[in-house]
Amino acid sequence: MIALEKVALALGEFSLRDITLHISKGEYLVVMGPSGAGKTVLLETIAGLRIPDTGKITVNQRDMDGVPPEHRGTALVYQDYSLFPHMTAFENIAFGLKMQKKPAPEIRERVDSLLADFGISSLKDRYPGSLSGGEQQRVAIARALAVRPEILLLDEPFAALDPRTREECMRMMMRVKKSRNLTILQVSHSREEAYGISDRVALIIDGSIVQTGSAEDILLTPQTVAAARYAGIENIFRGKVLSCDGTFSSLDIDGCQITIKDKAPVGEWVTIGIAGEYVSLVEEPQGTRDAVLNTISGIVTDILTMEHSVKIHIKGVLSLMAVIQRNSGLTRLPLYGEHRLVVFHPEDAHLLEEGV
Amino acid sequence: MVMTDKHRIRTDPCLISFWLIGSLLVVLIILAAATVVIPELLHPGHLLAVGMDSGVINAIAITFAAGFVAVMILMVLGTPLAYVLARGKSRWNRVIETIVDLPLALPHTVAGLMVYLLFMMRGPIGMLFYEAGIVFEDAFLGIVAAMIFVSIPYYVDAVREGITQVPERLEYVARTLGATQYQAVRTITLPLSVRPILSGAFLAWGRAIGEFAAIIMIAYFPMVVSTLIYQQFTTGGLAESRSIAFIMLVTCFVVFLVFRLISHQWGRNHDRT
Repeated sequence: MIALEKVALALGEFSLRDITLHISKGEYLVVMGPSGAGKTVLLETIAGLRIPDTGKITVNQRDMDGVPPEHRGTALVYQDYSLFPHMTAFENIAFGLKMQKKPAPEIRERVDSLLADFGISSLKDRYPGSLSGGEQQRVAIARALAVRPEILLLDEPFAALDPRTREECMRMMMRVKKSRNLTILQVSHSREEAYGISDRVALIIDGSIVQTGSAEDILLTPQTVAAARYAGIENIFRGKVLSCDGTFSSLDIDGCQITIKDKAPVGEWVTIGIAGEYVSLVEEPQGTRDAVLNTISGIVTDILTMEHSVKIHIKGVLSLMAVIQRNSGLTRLPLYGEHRLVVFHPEDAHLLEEGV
Repeated sequence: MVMTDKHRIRTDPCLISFWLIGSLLVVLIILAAATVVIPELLHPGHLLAVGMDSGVINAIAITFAAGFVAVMILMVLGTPLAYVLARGKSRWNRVIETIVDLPLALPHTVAGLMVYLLFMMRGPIGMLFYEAGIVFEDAFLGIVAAMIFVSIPYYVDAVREGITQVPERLEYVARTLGATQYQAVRTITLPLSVRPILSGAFLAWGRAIGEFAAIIMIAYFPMVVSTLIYQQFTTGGLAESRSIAFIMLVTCFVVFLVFRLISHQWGRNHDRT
């Protein structure tokens, strides 16, 4: 229902380059990408606050060229919530309805019902300056929903919230989306949000959409080197293609022979990425080595314990990072200096395109 | 013992030294005022006589009224200008800002000359109004024109700076909620700029009522206070002019004190946390 065709826009240091993106009605699309990639500008362009230099935006097949923001049916919520500081929570939520010249009793009824829906009735006479981040966020979303938009544009709406409030807000957005059949575009940096609420993720780097797909696609099997770096793919290597049998290719990386399940041009230099989640550790010595399984021997040089996982760096002919889930079957974590075998399947190593 | 903030500030050597250095300026103004105030208070009879003089009352009324009209016109014309300068991203804005600031840098006699050449009966603007029967030379409107000219930068700069402080995103949000650009400016940006608008207006008013050189070049009559003081100083002597100066000093102090006290109330909810 929202279609962007080759939308380009230069704006000082930010730019959008030939953005083509289709979002269907009722879809929850999370837009990810590094800072300065143009995510906010993308939302503002869809909202009609910025005019593309070239390209076309349609909403429900209607060309948006020349349609001002107030007639687009899109509502925008910024990361800082941008509540009107001189208006109470009630007045903030009522603002759009006032602009639509709705009669006062209807405004009161709709705002009261939104206040109740979001559990903020008690805050209605408070000014934004006296509200907490989570409360401001609710007011901002209620204000956006008051005008009954078809499209909700959210610019990192949960970034400044504490984890518990963020989770509550994510659940709230899921409910809102379902009950109102809203189309939502949400800019986010958070993997949690991408996994938790998105129907689909679009990755934008340097003003271009480099990949769209499920959160798993984007975060575990990115297609380009820049996407892999953004997704935090731990293991990125460059190597020369030794052979290719049509299904598997054999690569020489720093003198180590690695097999990948991908077609690669023989004799050329290529880049591959392996998510740390796909790298596992086995204790030495262990049975016969699987012919196709990539196996590298090394020493544990670094262990970083995170909330849900442990990142283990193994230095061998090839240095690899393995990400082990803390609740996985691994009973004993390796110690510094211990020898380990690192293994990964050829299908988990992916060719990455150069550039963005 | 927990030291309160108040206590800390009172004893902080850095702040004390700043106060000592800074107070020299305050003392300078107080001393200057005292040279007028003390002799006047010692001769209340003379002061009262001057204060009751119709010429003096007229001059004060004309000065304040012309200042008021000038500021009203300045608000109507200057606020839109301040908005486009604050929001515009064009390189030309720097040029326009410099043009707006010109009256600030020019000697007031030069400003007066420019106003005269522009608004005299044969001047480009004066001629147009003359055809409609309106003259600026030696007229109330001439005073207003000179006052507007010299106070433009005070108002426009203050308001432009204030509007710059209002995040443009608030207008963006208002637009997506159904407000036109006009409505967004009227309901969001202007109410949030009320403090700089009023403080710009007061600054401009203060500048306007204090103008002398630019005013006498186009309108020596009707006399504004500054013209009257100068005239009294050159013809009647120190005592006459000092009494008028005293009345002006006290009036301005009271007006500005009241403004400072009530301006704290404006936009008290505007501070974003």
